[in-house]
Amino acid sequence: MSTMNRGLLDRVWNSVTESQIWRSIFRHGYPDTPLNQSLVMMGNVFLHLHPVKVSRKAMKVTYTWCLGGLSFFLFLVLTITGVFLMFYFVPEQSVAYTDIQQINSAIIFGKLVRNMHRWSAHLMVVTVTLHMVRVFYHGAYKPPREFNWVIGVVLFLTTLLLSFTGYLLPWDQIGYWAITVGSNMASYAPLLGAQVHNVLAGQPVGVGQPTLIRFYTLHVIGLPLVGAVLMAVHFWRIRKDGGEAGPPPPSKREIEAARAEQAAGAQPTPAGSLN
Amino acid sequence: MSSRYDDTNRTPQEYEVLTGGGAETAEIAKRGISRRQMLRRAAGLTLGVVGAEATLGALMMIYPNLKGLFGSPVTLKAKSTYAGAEQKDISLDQKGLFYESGAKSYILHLLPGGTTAFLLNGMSLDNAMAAQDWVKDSDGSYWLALYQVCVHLGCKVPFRDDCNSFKCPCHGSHYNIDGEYLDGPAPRSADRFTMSFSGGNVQVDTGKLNQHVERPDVGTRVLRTPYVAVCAAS
Amino acid sequence: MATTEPRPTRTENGTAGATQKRYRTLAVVKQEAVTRVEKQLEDSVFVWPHLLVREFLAAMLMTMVLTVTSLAIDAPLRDHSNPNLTPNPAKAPWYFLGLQEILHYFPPTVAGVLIPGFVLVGLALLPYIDRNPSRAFEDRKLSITVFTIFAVFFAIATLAGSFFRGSGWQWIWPWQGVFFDL
Repeated sequence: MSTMNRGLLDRVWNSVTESQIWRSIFRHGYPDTPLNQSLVMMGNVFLHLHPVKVSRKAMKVTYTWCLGGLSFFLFLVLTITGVFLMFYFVPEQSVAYTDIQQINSAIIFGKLVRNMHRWSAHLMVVTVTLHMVRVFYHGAYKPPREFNWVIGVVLFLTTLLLSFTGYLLPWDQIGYWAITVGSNMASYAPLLGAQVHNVLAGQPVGVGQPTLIRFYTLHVIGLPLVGAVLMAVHFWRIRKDGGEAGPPPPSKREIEAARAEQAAGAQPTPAGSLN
Repeated sequence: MSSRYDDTNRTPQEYEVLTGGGAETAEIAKRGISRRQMLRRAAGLTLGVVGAEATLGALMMIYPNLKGLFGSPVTLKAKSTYAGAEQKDISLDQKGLFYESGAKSYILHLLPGGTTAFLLNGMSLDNAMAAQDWVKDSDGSYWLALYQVCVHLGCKVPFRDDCNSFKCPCHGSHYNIDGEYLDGPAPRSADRFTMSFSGGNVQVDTGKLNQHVERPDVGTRVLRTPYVAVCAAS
Repeated sequence: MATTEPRPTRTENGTAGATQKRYRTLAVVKQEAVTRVEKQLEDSVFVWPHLLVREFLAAMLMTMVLTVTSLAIDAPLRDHSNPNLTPNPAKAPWYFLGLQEILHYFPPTVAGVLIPGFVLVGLALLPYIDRNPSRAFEDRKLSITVFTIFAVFFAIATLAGSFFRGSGWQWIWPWQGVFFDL
C-alpha cells in the first residue's frame, strides 16, 4: 500500500474510506473480492433481498425478462411520484379537478410527475400481468412455490385496485363514470350487494365526496401498505422456497431418452452392434 | 443485456473473470489506476450528479408557488367596491371598512372632512401618514390596509361597529379605526400592509408588512379617538 | 463396515502416520503441470456484480422509457365530472374492458361479480388444482392449453372492449373511430 505514486484523489479517498464514520457504515471493502462480494450482500439491508450467489440460468434476462423486478421498481416510482402529487392534491370534490389542473400548469415538474405516475401505473398492470403469465408458462408456481403464487395473485389484485382507486382522483369525466359503473357493478354481488356498494362508495347511490375520500385513503395508504407487506412476504418466500425457479428441467421423455442413451453408451446393446 | 459470456460452456470461475469481479481482477486493479477504477469513479460521479439533480428537482417541485397567495401581492376587487365613509359613519363591510379574507386584512377607505378629524396637519401629518403606509387617493380620500392580527399575541381582531374601533377578544387590546393603539396590552399600533392600486383594483402586498408603528402619544396621534368613548369587553 | 472393507480405514492410517511420517520436499511441481480432478462445479455466480448490474440497467432503461414517454405524451384529463352528463360510451379502465365486454353478453351478477371472482379464486388455487409435478412444457400440455385459451380469450375481450366498441357499446371498427382513454 505505498502512497508514493498515488494521486491526491486516492489519498483523500483512502482517508475517507478508512475513517471511523465510513467504516461504521460499510463493514467491508469494495466488493471486488469473493469475501467482500459476500459481505456486501449480507450486510446491506437493501441488497440482502438477494442471496450472495445466484444460478446463472435463473439469472438470464431471456428467462425472467426482469418482469418481477420491474414491477417492484414501478411500485417504487409510483410511491415517489405519488408522494410528490400528494403535496398538491386535495381530495375534495370542489377542488380536486382544479388541483390537477394546477399540477399540470402551475407546479414546477408537476406535469412530468403526474404523467410519470399515470404511465407507470398502467405499465405496472402490464408488467405484473406478464410476470404472472411468465411464471405460469415456466411452471414456477409448482411445489414448493405454491403459496408464493397465491400471494402473487393477491398482489395482482392489489395492483388492479390501486390503479382503479387512482382513476377517480382527478375527478374528471373519465374517472367519475368509470368508478360509477364499477361501484354499481359491486352492488350486483350476491347477498351483500348493497352493503358492498355502500362500503366502496360511502353513499347509497352514485359517486360523491364520500367516495372520493374513501378512494383517496385506499389509494395513498391502505392498498400501498397491503402491497408493501405482501411484497415483503413475496420476496422473502422466493428465498425460502429455494430462490428463483430457473428454466424448467427436462421433460420425462427427455430424461428417459438421456437415460437410454447413457445405458447404450456404457454397454452397447447386441441390436446396436448388429446393425 | 445478456452478454456473450453467458455461454454455459464456461465455468462460473471463467465467467467471474470475464464479466468482472473476482480476486483476479481485484489483483489487476491494485496495480495502479486501471480501467476498472476509472469506470468506478465515473459511475460514482454520475450517480452523485443524478442524485443531486433529483434532489434539486424534488425541492423545486415542493417549493410553494406563492403567486397570488397570502405572502405575495394579492389583487382585490375594484376600487368602487370599497365605498368610503367618514370616521363616525364607518360600518364593517357596508362603508368605510371592508374585510378581505384572501389578504387577511381590513381595507379602510376614509373620507376627509365631516366627522373625520385628523389631529396633525401639514408636513407632520404627511410624514406620519407616510410612515404608517397610508395611501392618499387622487380624490382626496385615504386608504389603509390593516393586517387582521393583534400585535399582542396573534388573535384575529374583529371590528366593533358598536365601538367604532377594533377590540381584540383575547386580551382586550384596543385599536382605533386606522389601527392606532388606544389601550390594552398591545405593545404598538396594528401592523399594516403596503397597499396600492393596480388597474382600478385594490392591491395589497401581503409580503410587505409594516411592524413599526409605535404607540402614539399626544404629539404623534394621527386620528382622533373613537366617537364611542367606552367600549365594553364584548 | 470394517469387516467388509479389507483396506485399513482412513483414521487408522492417519493416526498411525501422524506420529511416524516425516515430510521432505522431493520436487516442486509447477501449477501448469498439475492435472486437476474434473469436478462438477455449482452453476452459480456472485449477485454482486452480475445480477445487480442487470437489475440496475433494467431500472435505468425503464426510467428512461418512462421519462421520455411522460415528456412526449400527456396523461389524459377530460372535462370536470358532471353527474348529469354520462359520456357515451362510458368505459372502465382498460384492464377492466374485458369484463365490460363480457358484461355486454351476461347479466351483471355473472359478468361483474361471479366471473372475476371465479377467475381470481381459480388462479389462486391453480397450484393446488394442477398437481402435475413436472415443470417441462412437454409434460404440461393440458394445463398450458387451458391457460392459453383463457388468456387469449381474455386478451381478445379486452381488445374488443377497448378498440371495437363505440357509443352505446355498438361494434365499431378502429378506423371508424376509437373511444379509448388511458
